Amino acid sequence: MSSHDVTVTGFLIILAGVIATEVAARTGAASVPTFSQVMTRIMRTRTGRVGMLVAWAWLGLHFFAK
Amino acid sequence: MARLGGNRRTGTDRPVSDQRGSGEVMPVSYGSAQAVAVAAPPPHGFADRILITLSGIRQPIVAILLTISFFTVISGKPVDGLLLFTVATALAWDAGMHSRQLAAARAIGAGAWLAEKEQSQVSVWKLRTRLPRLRFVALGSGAAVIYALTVGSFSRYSWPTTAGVVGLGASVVIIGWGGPTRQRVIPARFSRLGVITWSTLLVAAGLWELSALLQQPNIDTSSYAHPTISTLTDPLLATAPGRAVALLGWIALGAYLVER
Repeated sequence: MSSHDVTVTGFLIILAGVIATEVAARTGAASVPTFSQVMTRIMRTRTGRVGMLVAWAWLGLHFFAK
Repeated sequence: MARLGGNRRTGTDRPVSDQRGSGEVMPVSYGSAQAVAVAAPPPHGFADRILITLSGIRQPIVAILLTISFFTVISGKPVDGLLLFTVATALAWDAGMHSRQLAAARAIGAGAWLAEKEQSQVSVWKLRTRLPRLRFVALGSGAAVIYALTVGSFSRYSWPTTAGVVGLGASVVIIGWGGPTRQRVIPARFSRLGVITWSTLLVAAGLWELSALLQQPNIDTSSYAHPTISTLTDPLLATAPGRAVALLGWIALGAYLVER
């Protein structure tokens, strides 16, 4: 397994973890919140709301803007 | 922007004027005719302002933005990094002043008021109580597709693309500064397991990306052996249809966040 494959596998494992956590939250298999609940909780304050939206805007800048 | 983030609350409350001209003012007897106004202690001097800002860095989202701004600067985008740093500092100040206001309220025993304020739907926008009408969804989706196809037709890092992304990004952040756009149920505090699980995933993703970034030949030269997420998405973003799809995904994520 090359280092490229190891790196990509790492990202896939984390993605699988996110999906598994979301499934566990929605089915009630574990007492974890859903992704939506996490976002709503973070964005209940102005700091959290603006911070998340700035992070989102930065994603667009990072991938597309000068 | 300050007006957008004022104390206006939909429903029975009206905006409360700043009686000391220095900080936020809040009614303690919430909803009563004899509301007592208490302001956060105003900052005294430069050092106090620095302390207030530093106290706001405890907010995880502020710390994350500062980290991103650092890596943006060392990745060769100093202007982006500086902009992000400025916003993060403004948010740290806002959070620091909010903490001060909470401390002032606790000192006079307004804990219940605080709890209600945290859960209240403070916004300058008229809060929707249901999903948007179908025709608005169709209009918005159509506009998003036209935007994605238009902006995606230009090459990455070009001025037209930059203008399109900056324009939309700034608009959405301004909307967010005004508060939520719909009434929503704020979840209660999460279990320790929930916090640990999501935090672990976030930190793992950040460290894995950082590890790949630091193993590149240098900070702005991508590596096939240790690809970052940016490197992995390069093939998709090299084509106009790929860029359009990615922009649509970015818009969808933004719309999702605005609805939170």
